[in-house]
Amino acid sequence: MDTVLAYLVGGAVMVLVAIAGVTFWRASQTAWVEEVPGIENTRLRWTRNIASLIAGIWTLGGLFQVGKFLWMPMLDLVLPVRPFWPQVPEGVNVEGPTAQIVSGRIREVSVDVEGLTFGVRALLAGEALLQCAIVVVIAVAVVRICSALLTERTFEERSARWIRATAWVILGAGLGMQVLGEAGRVGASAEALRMNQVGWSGDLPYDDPSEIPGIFAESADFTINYWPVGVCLALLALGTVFRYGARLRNANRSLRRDVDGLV
Amino acid sequence: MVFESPVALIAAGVALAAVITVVLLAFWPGRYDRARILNGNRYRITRLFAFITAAGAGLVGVVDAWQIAIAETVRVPLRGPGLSIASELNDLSASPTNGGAPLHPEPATGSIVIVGIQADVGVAEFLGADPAVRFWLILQVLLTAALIVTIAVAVARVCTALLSGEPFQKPVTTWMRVSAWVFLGAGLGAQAALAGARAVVVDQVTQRPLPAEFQEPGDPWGIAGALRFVTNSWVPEFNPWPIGVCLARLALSAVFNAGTRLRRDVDGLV
Repeated sequence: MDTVLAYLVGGAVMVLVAIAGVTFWRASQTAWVEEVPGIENTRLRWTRNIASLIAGIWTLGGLFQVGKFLWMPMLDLVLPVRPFWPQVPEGVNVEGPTAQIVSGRIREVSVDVEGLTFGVRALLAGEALLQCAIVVVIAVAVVRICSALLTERTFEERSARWIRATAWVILGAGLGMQVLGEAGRVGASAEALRMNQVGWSGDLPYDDPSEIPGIFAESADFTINYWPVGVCLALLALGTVFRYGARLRNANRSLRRDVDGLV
Repeated sequence: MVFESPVALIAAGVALAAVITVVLLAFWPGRYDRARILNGNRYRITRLFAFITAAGAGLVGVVDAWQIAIAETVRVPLRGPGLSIASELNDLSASPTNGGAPLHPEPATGSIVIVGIQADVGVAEFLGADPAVRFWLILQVLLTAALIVTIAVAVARVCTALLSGEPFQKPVTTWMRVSAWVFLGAGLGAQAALAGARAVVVDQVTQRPLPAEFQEPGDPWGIAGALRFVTNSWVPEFNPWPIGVCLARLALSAVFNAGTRLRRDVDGLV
């Protein structure tokens, strides 16, 4: 890729973002007036429709993924490998680069693999299912919030309940997904890449199997991110905001009844 | 967080269990439904997490940017269709054996067959990187930090508003809206900046002509494959999630707006 083109692509994306920002900034500000303005209504409808679409696509996609992991004979996976970097043997001269690679690490490889055990497949299917659950639950929450806003029933108790449920689903599924997925990939890495023995002809310039291109060593790298805890806490706070809003709405209704009664 | 030893993994698991226990004790739905929904402790905990996240992300962003600016070498994550391994494996297996040992690696689990394999993600450390690479990388690091800090501060503001007894305040609504736009700009901008860094660095490093004897793929020593890894490693990626998050946050901003209107209404009636 040409450097100039890279600059152009990067610059174009930033200009587009800036234009979108300038165009919609005012639209998001106008929400401050008494009634929800038309342009915000449009944005909320779009948000609701996009979220519905995402929920539908992910539900179907998730079921497909689970079926694929459980029953398809060949799986395409990204597996952890012991970090390596292909070395150019001595005697090969290369010219041209203005920067020099000092070191590098390849930690993952994409593989098409057949013959994985059912246990590994089940772990990977579990990860796909939980990932799908997270996305769908969030998308449904967005749909509910937008629908409530559009029908002027913003602080419904069921919205607050769904947000609280979303928080706990994200905590459980977010952590569970990572544990299942990492365990599945480590298991698959062990099954697919653990070697009993490797030999090679004497005229090849290798001292160690790890130097041979194509010999990947299994890895037990286990990565866990703690983001589900933070997201859960933030959503629980948001759930409280909704509950508070519901109380405010009830107080408003009660006061209105009193005022109407007085009049 | 990457764990390479069982002890580290167990320690991390214990730490995680402790955090989850605190969360469950403070936030369990059964307690949540009681009348005192503005119980302060849970929001103090959330706010503390948010502040720690914001401070950590900001600090890490500044330190990373400074390191990229002054360090002799820079690290660039590369991704793409690179070193195609299957052909080298086949070539090795076709060569004469060494003392009777099989040339083709034998998987420990007999029924496993790797049909295709390629090195997909790599992190390379470069010496003498162009200032443009450093610029793009610094931009990416700072935009990512801005994204995390903004969202963490938004959470902290909501918690502070809850602790004050009135969540529907104009500054909170404004911050929610600002954070939505920052999320959009920083989320897309960080992706563009990383793509820019990759493009420039690959352009710098990979203008290397292959020696004539290694220009055919599948050479027995795999040299062409080793060189190819960097020649093909720039693939533009675009992830649209910042757009979705921006829209969702704008919807939340509208919720806070509705709450503020409701509050004004109630105050007016009183």
